[in-house]
Amino acid sequence: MDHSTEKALERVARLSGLSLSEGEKEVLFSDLSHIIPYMEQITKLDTEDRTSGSSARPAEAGKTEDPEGGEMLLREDEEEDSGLSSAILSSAPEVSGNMFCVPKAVE
Amino acid sequence: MSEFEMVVGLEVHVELKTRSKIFCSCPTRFGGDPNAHICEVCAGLPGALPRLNKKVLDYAIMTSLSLHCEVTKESRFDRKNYFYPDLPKGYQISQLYAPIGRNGYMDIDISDPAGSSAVKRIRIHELHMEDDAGKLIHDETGNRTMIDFSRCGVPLLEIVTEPDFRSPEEVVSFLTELRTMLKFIGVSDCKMQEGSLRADVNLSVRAAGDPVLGTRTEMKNLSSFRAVSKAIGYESARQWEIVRNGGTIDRETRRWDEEKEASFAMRKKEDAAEYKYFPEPDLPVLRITGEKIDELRCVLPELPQDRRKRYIEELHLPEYDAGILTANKEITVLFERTAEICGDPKEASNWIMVDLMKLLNDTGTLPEDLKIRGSSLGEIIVLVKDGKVSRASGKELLKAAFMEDAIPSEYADQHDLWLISDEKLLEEIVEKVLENNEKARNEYLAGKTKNFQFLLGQAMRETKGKADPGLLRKILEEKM
Amino acid sequence: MTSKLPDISNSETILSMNAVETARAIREQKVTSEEVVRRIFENIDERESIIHAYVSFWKEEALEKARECDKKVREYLERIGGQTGETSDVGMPENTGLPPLLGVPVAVKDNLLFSGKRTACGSKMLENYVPPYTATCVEKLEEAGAIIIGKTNMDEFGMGVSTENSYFGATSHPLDPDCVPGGSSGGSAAAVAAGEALAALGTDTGGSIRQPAAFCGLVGLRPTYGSVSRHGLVAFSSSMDTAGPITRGSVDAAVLFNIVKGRDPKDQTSASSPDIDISAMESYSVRGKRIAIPKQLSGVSDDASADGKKGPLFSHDVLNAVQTARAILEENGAVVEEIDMPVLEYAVPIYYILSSAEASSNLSRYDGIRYGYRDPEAKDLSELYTRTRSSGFGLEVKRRILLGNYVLSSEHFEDIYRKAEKARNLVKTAFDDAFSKYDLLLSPASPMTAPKKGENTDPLAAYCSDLCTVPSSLAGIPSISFPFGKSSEGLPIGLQLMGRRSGEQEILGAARFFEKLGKIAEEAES
Repeated sequence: MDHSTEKALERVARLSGLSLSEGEKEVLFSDLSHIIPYMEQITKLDTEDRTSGSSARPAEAGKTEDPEGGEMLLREDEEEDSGLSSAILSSAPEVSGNMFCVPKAVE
Repeated sequence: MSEFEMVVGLEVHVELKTRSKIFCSCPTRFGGDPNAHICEVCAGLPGALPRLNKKVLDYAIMTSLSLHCEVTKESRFDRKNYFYPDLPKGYQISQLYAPIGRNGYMDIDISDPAGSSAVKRIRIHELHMEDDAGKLIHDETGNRTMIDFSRCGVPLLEIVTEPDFRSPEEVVSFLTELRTMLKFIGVSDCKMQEGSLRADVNLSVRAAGDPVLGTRTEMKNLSSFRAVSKAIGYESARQWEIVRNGGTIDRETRRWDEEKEASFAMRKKEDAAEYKYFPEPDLPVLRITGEKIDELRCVLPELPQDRRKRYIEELHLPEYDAGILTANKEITVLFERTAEICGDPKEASNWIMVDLMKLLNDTGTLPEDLKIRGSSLGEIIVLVKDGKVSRASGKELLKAAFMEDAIPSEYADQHDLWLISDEKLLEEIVEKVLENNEKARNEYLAGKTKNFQFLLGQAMRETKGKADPGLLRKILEEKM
Repeated sequence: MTSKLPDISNSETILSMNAVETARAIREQKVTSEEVVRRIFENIDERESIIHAYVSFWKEEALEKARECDKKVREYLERIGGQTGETSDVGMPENTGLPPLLGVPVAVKDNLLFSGKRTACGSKMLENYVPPYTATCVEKLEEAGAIIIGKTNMDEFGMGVSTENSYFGATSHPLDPDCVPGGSSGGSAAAVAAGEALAALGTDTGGSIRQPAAFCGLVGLRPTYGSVSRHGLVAFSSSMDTAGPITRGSVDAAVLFNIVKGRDPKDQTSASSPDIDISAMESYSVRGKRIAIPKQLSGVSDDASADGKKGPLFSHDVLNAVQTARAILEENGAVVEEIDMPVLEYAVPIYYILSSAEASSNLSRYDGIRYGYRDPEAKDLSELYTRTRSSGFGLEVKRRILLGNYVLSSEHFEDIYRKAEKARNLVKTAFDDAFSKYDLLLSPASPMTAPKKGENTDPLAAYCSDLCTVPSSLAGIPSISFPFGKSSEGLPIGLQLMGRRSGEQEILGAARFFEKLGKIAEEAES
């Protein structure tokens, strides 16, 4: 794999919050060097005059059967105690008092 | 004229005053233990989905309208992805591609170097909704950082201006007007010290007359208008010093240190700006109808700026008065109702600005908690004007209405505040006084004018201070 | 398949009934829930060490619940003084006053949260994670009286086609333990096929219900996107994740769909949809129906195809099955035509670009801070993220996260991600066009039957094997895989029917049509 591709993939790994071992890098970068060009073939498609965006929400477009008429159902501004606070805290790897703990960032 | 010019833009974050968070029903209110107000959504648990609070959308539209923005008819949320411990999902739900409000403006009052006031238009680039992150607390002794997610998910409105500011005064003027307006329309309480109003400053400098923009820095952690002003002064000087000596400005984020009164570069991360924005698939597209916009427009009160203008031009109030009266929604409402009842805006203004304000200050009451009604204050003013009660009594009535929402006429009855304006009765009293004070009377007629006051005082005393002073004076004058 | 309840005096036949039939038998006190659950656990005891469909199950709890269900039935029948008076032949749950699946043991895929029970999504990251709330669709299943007896194995976070990507080890195909059951809902399919549950919930993002159902000879329904709430479904690709049933037969699938569907205020992308009419399913006729077979999904495409990998992909047995199905349809009065949907050549890359992008974002929350695995070696904040995520995630998950980050990074966003979004619209339009002329689309559910374990070594080849199922995922339309014969090696073949949005009634009816013709071999062992 050429150096610039490897550098680019290393940057992608950093963006992903992953630190890969040398062995993993070999396998994954090699995989991606085939997978990425395969995915990029969609650039051959003619997508003129296609507006993007609402494509990702077929549920909306398909609300013809919806008795509520497909209206945006937003939540009323009412407060509610979830009752989950202590359960969430107790399943944390590290807590101090009522707070989640992490190691400090290196400044 | 200065050798350089500063070019400043603002990113203002406003915490909205809703009961629940933007994407879940957890309460937004302060207090309670850390992490008391969390749920699967705002803590970013697996399987959790955001549920948009409709009031947040309403407030966002109202704010957009108040800033003269175009309301985006198909608005969307987007994910802003980055890793940081105060961000439980690993992304913030914000709006990049289709923010709710675009291309607006706010006019601010500035005074030009010659000292005369002018109006400058600050353009609003866009306005969008997003969720707030949690709070980090660094444990200085140990090697730990602690996280409280109670604030996570509190609804924010981000208002981004164009880089139209040229001085710290303009920025402060804008922030002041913005705060007044946001409080006025009721979407936020804008308490900078508590973090419900935050301003980040983007600043660059250039030689005076140079059309090219310099490299800008971003300053954060400004917790008061004063800090904003100082930070702008400091940073512009710092940048100009570098530029003047041929150096280049690093495009970076800087942290304002209030104690040291200086800005410091935050640690630069190579990929800092890579947020991998993409449309949020868990929330539907927001389709805002014309009806919805009109409905909210009707709910919007007349904005402070427009109202001030009207007070000055139509009610002929001085600018200063207009400013005070429109600083606060409750005061404005009170003023207008009072003016309506008593028919004298200037009087109403005086009573509010002097007497009422004194009461507010003395008792430490906030305008939001005012009990007094405009109809009561208006009535009091009328009673004083008509001479039914003395001005002193009027103040007493004001205090009673303020403290207990007392009805002025009832209170006056109960406390015998009515001035005597029965002419016949007063004539009798005056004659009696003159009879009993022959000597003083004669002295007056002989030229000792100050006896008039003495006699007036005597007459007044006879009435136990209840006489209508103007009328009493008139009668005494006639009798002598 | 007969619509009459089999004679169940013999305990061997207790498990020959499907879920709906079993529920009826329980209501009629022909069998007790406890007996059924006990038989299920006998199978689990006997077979699980080989099949490994489950990552967790709870026998005593299930039996206790079963006894409670039996008690409920007894008390109810006493109260009404007799039987529920059901007369329908088809095992359709009438309004009996008892929950429709009372006492029926079902399995749930391990990415659907179940409060108080470990939910691991096939990952080390959540190996010991116990959620504090339950997924809406699982709650609905419980409200319907079903007994959830365990959580099933899956490819990590839904990423895979064979359930070999599970941190907890692979699941075996019930008919041939050297073969995979499919993925990512392989555990759910294996459990039902092996008689270790009477029905199961799985999830389908790019085919993860349909393909394992096909491999295991079961019915797998991918409902219309948004018709089943995603609240409590651990997100993989938010705009395509759907929970749905894997069952013995289409009636079970329809009943389970009716139970778990519904608009949920906790999921603002959800929408309500009409109930499936079971008797209409029974009387569904294909006469006069117009059915299309997309060329691109039937191994017919002849050009050096978009990926160059499709040539040998479709097995002959599968292609023959499609032709046989076509012949049956035509014999019964349907019009069947091949149609050309060229954009489907690109469905696989479009799907993988969009799903990886969404997945990379959805998986960002796994950082060892609030729950789940945390790497004990992490010395500072940066290492907390990178070490936790690097040890916590398996290779396939990392592959997808990397791909997702790649397509979302600013250099590639416009060219790849935005392009894929637009291309997705083209896919939707192509389906809209097809459904303006046809009632149904027919294709294989998978180009092949269950491969052997360890055969799947090329990730890209695995992605390409999804070509039949990803198109309906992109369009959000409902699709069902149903069993249709066996390969020459004796492995089940599954075909797929696709319908319009909210068109579950149509595809379930057609699937039922095929079932009743008895051309499908019974797969479930009992």
